[in-house]
Amino acid sequence: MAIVNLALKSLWNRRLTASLTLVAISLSVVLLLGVEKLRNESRQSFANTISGTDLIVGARSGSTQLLLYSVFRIGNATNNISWKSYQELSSHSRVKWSIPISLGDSHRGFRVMGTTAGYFKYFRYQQKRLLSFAEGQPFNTLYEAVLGADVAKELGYTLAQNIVIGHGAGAISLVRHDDKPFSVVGILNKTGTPVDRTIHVSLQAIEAIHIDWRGGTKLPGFSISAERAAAMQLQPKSITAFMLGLNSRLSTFQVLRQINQYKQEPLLAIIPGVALQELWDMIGFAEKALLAISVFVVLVGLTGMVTVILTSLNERRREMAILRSVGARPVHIFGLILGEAVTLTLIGSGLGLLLLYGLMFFAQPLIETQFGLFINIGWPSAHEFQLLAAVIISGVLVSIVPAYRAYRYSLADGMSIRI
Amino acid sequence: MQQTETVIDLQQLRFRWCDNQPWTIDIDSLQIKQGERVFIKGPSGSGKTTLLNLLAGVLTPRQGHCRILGQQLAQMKASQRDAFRADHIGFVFQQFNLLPYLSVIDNVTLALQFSSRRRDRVTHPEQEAVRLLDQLDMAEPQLLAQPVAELSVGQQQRVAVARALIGNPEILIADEPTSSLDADRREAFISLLRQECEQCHSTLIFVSHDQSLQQYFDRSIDLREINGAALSQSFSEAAQ
Repeated sequence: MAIVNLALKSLWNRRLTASLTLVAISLSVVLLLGVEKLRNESRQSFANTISGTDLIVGARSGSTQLLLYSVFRIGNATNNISWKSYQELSSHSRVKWSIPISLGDSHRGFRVMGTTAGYFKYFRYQQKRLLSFAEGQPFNTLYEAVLGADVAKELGYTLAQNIVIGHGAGAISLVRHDDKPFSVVGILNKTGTPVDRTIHVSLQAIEAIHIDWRGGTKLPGFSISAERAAAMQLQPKSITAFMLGLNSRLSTFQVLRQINQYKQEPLLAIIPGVALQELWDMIGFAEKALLAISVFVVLVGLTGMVTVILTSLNERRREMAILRSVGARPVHIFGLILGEAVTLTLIGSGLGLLLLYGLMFFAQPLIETQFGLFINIGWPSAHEFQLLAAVIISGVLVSIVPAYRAYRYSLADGMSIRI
Repeated sequence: MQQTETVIDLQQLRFRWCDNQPWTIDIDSLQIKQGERVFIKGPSGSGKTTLLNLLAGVLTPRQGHCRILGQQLAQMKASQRDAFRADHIGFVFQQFNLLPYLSVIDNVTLALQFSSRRRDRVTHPEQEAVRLLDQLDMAEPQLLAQPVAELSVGQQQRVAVARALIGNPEILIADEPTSSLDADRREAFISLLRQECEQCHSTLIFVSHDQSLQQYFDRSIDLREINGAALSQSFSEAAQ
């Protein structure tokens, strides 16, 4: 107890260097735990983008590409699939539900997706959560649109707003479907997934706005008015992809094989969970590199502490000789130095944790609006405690170096005071 | 006359740092009795520091006996020797005796931290520290409140004496405690030291190279005379 008291007082005596050491340790802890938190949350939110869908089917291409355009609305499909194939496969005996999606248009940078009412009934994200409406309801008639939460928030749209869909996926559309404006009938709750950045319309609406188009441009001198188009029996000829829910997950691989071997058209079916994992493995090395860097920053912080203590040892040899003369054992001297380092590591880690939570508290809304990543501020997870424990244990281990050196000094010097 | 017992008893004491080196300490016999105030004259190179480390149990003799208060230090474990030192010996060094991060009082009571025996003898450590400091003329509140680094050297030495004496250790060893003091302060300091040791019934061993101080002590020992090693060493140095 006496030696702890002495260690604290001695540390307080050198509070300037000690507090600089604390800053270094706590910042490195903030970085380590912060990176870990971001890593976990982004992996979580990534895995949460789609849930409960057994298969995603598109034209034959790569599984990552299919996942990217069908789920993340990134990139474009190389090819469409025919409505006939969709109808045939979705009526398969093992299929419980299906959601067709049709992509290719956009509104002020947000993708427009044609789908059916089934989307709002079957599409699930984040551990089987269904989409829910903040306002309004699903589209019912032809020129109605349902907005994702971010679309409504960023563009300031409310219900009954009229919007014009642009052709193509760019942020600025040079060609617009301005003859057939849509009215907003529903706004979805925030999901933290790409759904938030999507405008949902019916498949028929996609068909209607392209009815007087051929080969990607509007036919000159030929137009069909919105009213006439609505009166027509519109049937999509092709869609971009579709999602399938099966009666039993056990039949997933069987249906997958059947779709991949489908004779009428070259199709590709993927299991979303597997494709997500593959994609994460591809982009995940960046987060691993980030973690490695933060581990090194912690090591730099601890090395700094050891350096500060080691350089202080020489001028503290007198202190050690005095302590030896009043009966302190070399083990006490060892404990004095170790105790000092452990105190610094503990306080540094604690401060780091506090600072991290403070930062998260302030940055959480910002991260959510800027990156669509919801940081869950809860108690530190077991894993975070493990990391923190690893920091503290490393701190103790590296402190053995100066402590042992002081121990050797005190054995060699005895009570002779060297200045 | 009161019966006095031997506090320090050295017999054929020999010490050297390495096996192939000449002896640093080679003392045939030295006895110091309880309550004695002994002046050991030891210029540099006479093995003074080594002898003090042997008496303190920081070093152990290669040959012979070093019996302190009837106990053979060489037969104890290192930790027991450290505890023995804490219990029975108080030290005052040449200068920089105090820990800069402790208050005056805490510096005095520091000697109790490592010795339960001395701690048990003092019921109120702070009061006892103030009492000792008061006898050394160091108990004025503004002095006690000062950081120890701001005290004068003489004041620091007096605080060190209070630390060496708290809890009544049997032996007080002072190693050149006056060499950083002015000549007129030296005398006052030594008489304080003597007086305190008398009150505590402590044996005082005062080591210095300054021969003029020996007049204040009961007995004077020239380390060069009793340490055969120092003699041969200075001969060999002279021969070179």
